[in-house]
Amino acid sequence: MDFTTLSLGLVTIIGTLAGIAGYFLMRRKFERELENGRAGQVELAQKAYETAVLKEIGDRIGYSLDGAKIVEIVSGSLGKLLPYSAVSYIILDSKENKVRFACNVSETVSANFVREVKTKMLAAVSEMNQEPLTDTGVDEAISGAILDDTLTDKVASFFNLPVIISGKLVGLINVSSKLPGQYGEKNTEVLYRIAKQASEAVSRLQEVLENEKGKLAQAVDSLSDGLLMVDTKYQLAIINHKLKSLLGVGDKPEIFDIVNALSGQLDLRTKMEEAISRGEASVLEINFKEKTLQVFADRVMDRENTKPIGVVVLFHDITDARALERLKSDFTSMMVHELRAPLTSIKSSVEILKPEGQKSENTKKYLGIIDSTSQIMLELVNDLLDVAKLESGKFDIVAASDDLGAVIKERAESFEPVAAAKSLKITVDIEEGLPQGYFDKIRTKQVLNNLLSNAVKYSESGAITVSAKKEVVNGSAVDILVSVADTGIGIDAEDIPKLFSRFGQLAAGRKAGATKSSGLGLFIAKGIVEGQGGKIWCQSQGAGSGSTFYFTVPIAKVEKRTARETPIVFSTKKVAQA
Amino acid sequence: MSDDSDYKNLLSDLIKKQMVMLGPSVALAKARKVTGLTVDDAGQVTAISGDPQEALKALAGEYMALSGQIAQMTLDSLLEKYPGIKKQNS
Repeated sequence: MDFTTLSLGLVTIIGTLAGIAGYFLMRRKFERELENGRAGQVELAQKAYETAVLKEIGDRIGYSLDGAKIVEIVSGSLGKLLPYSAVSYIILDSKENKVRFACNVSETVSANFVREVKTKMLAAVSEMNQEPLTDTGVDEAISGAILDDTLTDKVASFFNLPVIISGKLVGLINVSSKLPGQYGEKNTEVLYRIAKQASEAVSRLQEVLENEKGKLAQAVDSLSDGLLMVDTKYQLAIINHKLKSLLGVGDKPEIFDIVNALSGQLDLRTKMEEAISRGEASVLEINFKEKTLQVFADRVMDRENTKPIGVVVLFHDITDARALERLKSDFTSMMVHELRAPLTSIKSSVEILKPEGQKSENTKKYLGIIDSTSQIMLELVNDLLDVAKLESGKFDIVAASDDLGAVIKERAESFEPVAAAKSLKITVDIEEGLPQGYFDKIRTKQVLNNLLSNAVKYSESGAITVSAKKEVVNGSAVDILVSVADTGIGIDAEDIPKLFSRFGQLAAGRKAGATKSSGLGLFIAKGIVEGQGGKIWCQSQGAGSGSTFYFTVPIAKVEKRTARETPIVFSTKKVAQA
Repeated sequence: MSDDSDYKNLLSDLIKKQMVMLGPSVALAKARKVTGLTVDDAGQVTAISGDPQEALKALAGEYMALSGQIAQMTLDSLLEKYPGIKKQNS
């Protein structure tokens, strides 16, 4: 074998070996790429699964501010993220002052296994909160696979997932396996990420809520009225500084302290129950420690599902207002009495002087002026006295059965001369068989006087019609409807509500020559009518179209007429406060 | 100033507490990620190479990523036992 042949052989062998080596290298490279591809696919699938779990948890948590709900949702959403024998959680319910332990067993284990999980979790919570948490009083719930006490498996590997909201531990999730080495940094990382994201989201929401609550608390605290709010379980949610000092219940009162403080004056519990069940705001006045308080209770509704979520009770201190009212009323009464006496004296003196025949025309004229102006002043003073009585609740209505038709006729007749002087015709229309009314004769005359005098005053031509008929509802007469219609200046629709208020005389009325009246007539009429159990209102087609005033009088019942010998006296306090 | 044994003890205490709180595997995995720390299976720090303060900072950071303020509170209470060691800023 020559050198050339040897070299050729060697080159061939080397080439072949290189080819083989190249093949194996390429194959290895290809295999490695394939492995990487497979690992990438697995990683991608894992990531997709993690994303799906994260989305599911996110959707389920929504905008919940309930840490316990997050713990339950996260622990229930582990699925195939990692292997486990049991998933458990502990919820620390600070509101109810309770600790709940729940364990969902996915592979059959012994009761000892569950106990071991619980012990480990209690130890973890104790360590995190830096205060011991014992097994005593912990509510327990075990679900999932059946426990088998013949098994001797212990917790071979586990990890804990704390759920922290606004820096506070609200719960702990535990994932345990009877197999060792199941949990490393890699396969637990996603869960810590999920728990952290959920905690951060809720913490942020809570922060926003706390800020808003803080603003609200500040606003509530700065109120000059006392205020409290309870939830549907009557747990105190809000109480402001004013109410605490008003009731003298200390800095951190419970609802029982407030109920106790008010006992004897106000049944707060019943009041709140009524507000929730009836949905009607109620107002009442109580006397508490030499103070007069107006108490408003109303329910608070959920904006979304319109269900009641609590009750708010406001305590408005009206002690000073009531004292001032009394002072004003006493002063008015006193002044009115003081004015009435000299006015009556003036009027009587004029009456005495009038018949003497040898007076000059001027003297007669001046005596007439004194007589009419003192009469007007006396009426004004009487009106003021009536208003003072209405406002202080001392305006008594002495109601009895009587013939309302006769009263109307008598009053209409008395106005005929003044109406005739203005060429106005007064027509009376009393329904045949009009039942007896139940009313205060003197006061009802006062109402009719006011309505008739207004009708004459504000009508320059036309007619005035006074009617009375039964008001029938569902086939039966409920009361007597009286109306006084005129063809006078009329009233604009927007002015009608002002008519029955104090000093509610309208500008149009004043222009039409009513400056000599107090403007209190309709206010007093309202007090009288309502004090008798009726109502009063006005209708007008507008300025220039005349107006009709209506009022109702209760029908006297037969038993009322026969059973009572003395008339019934009603106080008008309620009317005056309305 | 504090010597290495204080740091070793503090770091060991922190790891052991975290083993109870989070579970041994997760707590140990996090501790072993910290450069310069040698930790045995019981959570004992057997050696620190490099700046121990940096190691403490890195370890605290690892645990705070998992349990936030709770890890900080644990560290703060441990630091009370070691007045010579500088407090970590959260």
